Amino acid sequence: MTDIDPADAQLTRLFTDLANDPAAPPSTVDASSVIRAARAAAAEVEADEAPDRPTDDGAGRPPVLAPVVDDPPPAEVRQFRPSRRRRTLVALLAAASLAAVAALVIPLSLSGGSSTNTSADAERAVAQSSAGDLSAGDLAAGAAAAPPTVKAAAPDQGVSSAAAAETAAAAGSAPAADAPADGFTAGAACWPALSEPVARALAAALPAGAYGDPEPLADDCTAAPVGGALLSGTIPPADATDTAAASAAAGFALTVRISAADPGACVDADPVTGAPCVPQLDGTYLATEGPGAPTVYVYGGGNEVAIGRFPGTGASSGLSIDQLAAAAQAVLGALG
Amino acid sequence: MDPEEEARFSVYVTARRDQVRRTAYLMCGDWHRADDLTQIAFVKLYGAWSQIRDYGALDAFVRRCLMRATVDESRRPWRRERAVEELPEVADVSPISGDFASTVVDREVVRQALEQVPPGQRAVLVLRYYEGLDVSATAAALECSEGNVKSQTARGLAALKAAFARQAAAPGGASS
Repeated sequence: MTDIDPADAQLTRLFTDLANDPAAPPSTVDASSVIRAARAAAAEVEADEAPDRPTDDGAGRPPVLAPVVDDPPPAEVRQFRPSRRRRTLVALLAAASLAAVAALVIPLSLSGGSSTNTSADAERAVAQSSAGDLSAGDLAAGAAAAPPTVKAAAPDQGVSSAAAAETAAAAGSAPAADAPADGFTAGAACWPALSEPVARALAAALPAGAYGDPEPLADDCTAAPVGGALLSGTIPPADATDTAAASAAAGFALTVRISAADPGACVDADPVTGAPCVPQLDGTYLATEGPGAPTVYVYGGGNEVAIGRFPGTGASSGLSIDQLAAAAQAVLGALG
Repeated sequence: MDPEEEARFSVYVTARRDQVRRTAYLMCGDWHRADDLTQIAFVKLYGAWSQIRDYGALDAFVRRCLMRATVDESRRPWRRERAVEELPEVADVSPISGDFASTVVDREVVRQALEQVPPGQRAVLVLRYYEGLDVSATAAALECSEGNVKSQTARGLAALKAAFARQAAAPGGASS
């Protein structure tokens, strides 16, 4: 005590008297308990920080082993244990990171795996979607296989835009942005399905019984698809007498593609087949990919209607140029 | 630590245990907590024993460990002191006569008054008036500046005197 005010010197007496309380309980701290606690703490820290430490330090000296501790570890050891807490935090962080990665990777891998599906898979998915029994995952898979791209809504093609929006929402796309033009139903295929009036007009223009119902068209999307369908040739009814025509009809395939395009846009090249078209006297346009594979184009209302064979196969459409032109005009007329 | 060093450590602990424990008691006001704090300080000393070069500075090292442990303990949520409107009653020792009774009353009064001093100021008072440290040694033990020690000393003394005054003014309070 060097610079204590004598006026406060009695504090020393008071403090000393308080500290020297004869009623104080005996101390539980002694050298052996301190050493045991220190060894236990050191052993725990070593076990936490170096679990793979060899049993020998390399100099021939045995490692210091923690003795059996009779007393519980001291309060500091019980309460701190920083390395254990740090390890727990690291484990929790790792688990959270794994969960986050899994949450990202699993949906991506599912959709990525579906991207290898064939067009037939996508078509099947769309067909199931139209039947109302398609799961959301399949819809998403089909959408990933063939992302829908549609043109802006045409005001004069009124049909079921609400149904289209619902289907688009079920497919996981934004309804406002990805909704198809009015009159067509968006599905998992990139070409919206034909509306009922258009399909009816098309069926009326085609030879009766030559083709089946319109199926979704998934492949070869253009920049602004409005609607599309694939019609497979069917064997005529049993009472048909022309067996040669019946056998030939089995290999027919007809595609109908309606896109937003300016008149004569196919002159440069068909965006799907790549073949340029040639204007005809009757106002239609004609392109051929080869003998027996004509495609007829008609334009009106900002739309292009292309009818011809299915480009992905060698099957012929089975129709003459006049029949194709008639069907194309019927579809264009149904569009309004 | 080899056996010889452990023996030296044991000798030191045995010699200084009571003094450290008393200081810890003045800091916390509870003998069992004082035991905990004492053990913490000595465990820290054990861990640093092999690095100690100046054995004359052992007391200062242990004192610093004790102060750190006291501050750490006082910051734990279940150890925080609570301010109360009514102070607890002073022990009634009237049946005990003579100097012993007044000593006991004084001890309880001092303990309760010391409890009302903030922990930092209490540490300064204990180190300066019980341990007898000067300003610089107190500053070293508390790891703060000497100016801080001086100001904390003044505030601690004021707080302690105010606590004494409140106890004296309280009904049935001590008259020391």
